[in-house]
Amino acid sequence: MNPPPRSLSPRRVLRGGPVVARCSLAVALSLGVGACGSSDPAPPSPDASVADVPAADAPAAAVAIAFAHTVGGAPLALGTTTPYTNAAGNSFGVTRLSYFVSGVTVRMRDGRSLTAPGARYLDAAMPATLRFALPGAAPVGELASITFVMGLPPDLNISGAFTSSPESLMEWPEMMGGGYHHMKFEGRYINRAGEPFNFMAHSGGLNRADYSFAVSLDASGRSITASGASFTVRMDVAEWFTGPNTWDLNDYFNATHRGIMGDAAAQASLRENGASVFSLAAP
Amino acid sequence: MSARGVRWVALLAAALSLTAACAQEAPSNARELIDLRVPRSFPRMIVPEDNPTTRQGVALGRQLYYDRRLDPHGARACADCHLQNRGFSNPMVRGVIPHVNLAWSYYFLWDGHFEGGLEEAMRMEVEDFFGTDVNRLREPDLEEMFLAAFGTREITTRRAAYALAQFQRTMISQDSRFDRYVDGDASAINESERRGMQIFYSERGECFHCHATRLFTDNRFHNIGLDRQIAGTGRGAITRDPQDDGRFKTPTLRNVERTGPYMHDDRFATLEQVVDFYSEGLVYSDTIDSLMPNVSGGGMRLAPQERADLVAFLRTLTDETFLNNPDLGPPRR
Repeated sequence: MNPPPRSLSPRRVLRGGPVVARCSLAVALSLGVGACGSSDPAPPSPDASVADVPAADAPAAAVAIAFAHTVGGAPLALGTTTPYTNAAGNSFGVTRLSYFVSGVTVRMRDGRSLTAPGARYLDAAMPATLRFALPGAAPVGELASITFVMGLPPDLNISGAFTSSPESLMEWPEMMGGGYHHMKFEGRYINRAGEPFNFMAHSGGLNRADYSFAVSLDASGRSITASGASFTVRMDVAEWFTGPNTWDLNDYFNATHRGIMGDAAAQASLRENGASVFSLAAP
Repeated sequence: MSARGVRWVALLAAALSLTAACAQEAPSNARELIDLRVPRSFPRMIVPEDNPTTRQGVALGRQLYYDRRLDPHGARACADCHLQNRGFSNPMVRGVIPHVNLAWSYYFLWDGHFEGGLEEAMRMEVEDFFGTDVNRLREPDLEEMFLAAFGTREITTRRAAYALAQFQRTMISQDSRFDRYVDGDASAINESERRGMQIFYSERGECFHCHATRLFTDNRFHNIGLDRQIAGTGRGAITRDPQDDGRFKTPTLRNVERTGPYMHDDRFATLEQVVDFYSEGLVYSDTIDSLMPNVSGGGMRLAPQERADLVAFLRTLTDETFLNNPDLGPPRR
């Protein structure tokens, strides 16, 4: 797989000076969107930032969110073989999985919430992208849910918004509507002829339609303690190929239908299947 | 004299003594920072804090780029293998990577043999490739340029590399007919080229995922299906990971009309041959990239007119402004 940028070569380690700080996506977005403190003493509303809650009333802790990838409950292993089987009976393997999630939010039973504003780039080949802390201090207490948008909602799916790799490499062609891919999910499967055949389940804003979707995971029974908390969201990649719509990969990826980026029906079908893709890992 | 007065005298004396000691140095504020004018649609350029781009540094880097004194044998300069009118590549030298938009690279050479920033890559060029002997550079004209660029006449391979990196950062190709089209000039490309662009930016052609962004490269490694036997080749020769066998760095397509022959081993002489390969020449191997379309069918399977359109589009990436920019050519004496 492609290693993350600026890893060190086993043959030669090059020397480098300090690099001018490149505004990280998280920093840039956190500067631009929400999460600002407020001195408003009004009682918290369901949409309120925790910063709206007086500290004396709500002890604070750190919250980390991790994303993990599975296939039928087993950890996903990226590779060029085809060890998995989908609902249609296709043997398949996954070589690349990268996607955006937006507005990851921890919602408490008492209505308070804490949001990681903006978008996060996640890449199964880049472990450092798969775990992040919610900015600011989270309230101690019992959770209700963890929510986010799979992909980029229209207000974030703007061409040119990401100026650095790897986020910028998610660009979606202007002539297909511009913006960015929500997801690149690729691999190969064994087709009807018994041959390995590539599949590219890429989703994005085809012709400016919004194929992102909201995810809400029941987190009842989970809590944030004074020492903080960590929650793991799982994506079962086999679920992209089932749900309301069973995908036989032969139908979507073949000699004449190479991919689904230009296929509005397939984009909608994949979004519908997304309803069962995410779950919250057991504590 | 008061105690305060004594302190001022002491400070003045110290300053005078420093001035005398540094009589060979030039004030750093004499160096003029350059606005590189990176297009807004380009990815963010990373410039190290310890090597800002200055007019004097770029002038020195340009001098060194064309100066055979960089070679201890005086036989060659960077520019001997990187010809401006060939997009800073050279058809006579196997596997030459064009020097264009390298400021955005973090892997260098086809197999990513060198990783890091431009400063590190240029240091490799100076110290390892050329094996530069700084004594050959210790001549009055260069010493003056080092003084202007770095505030000292002391010549080191590090400073030479840093100057070359500064010059490389000015080698930005951004004014092709494609750029003008994207920036709003609908007349910049013709109908055939527009059809070729449609293929390029579709999964039918499947070019844009790797030849990505306005740089036309993702700076990553891919097995595009050139060979069945891939063991130990490409990126795999560096990482020793069989999953990397057969993978080579995506080359930029900017000025691709001028940068042939093509592929890491120069196997294709023309763009037509390249498009023919992608259309019907792909072969399967274990690490072939999942982005490669219809491998078992040979590839894109484009009709002759479609192939011609795609080649026509690739020619819109020729940037005559860049190829003829006098500021990138040999320094005037």
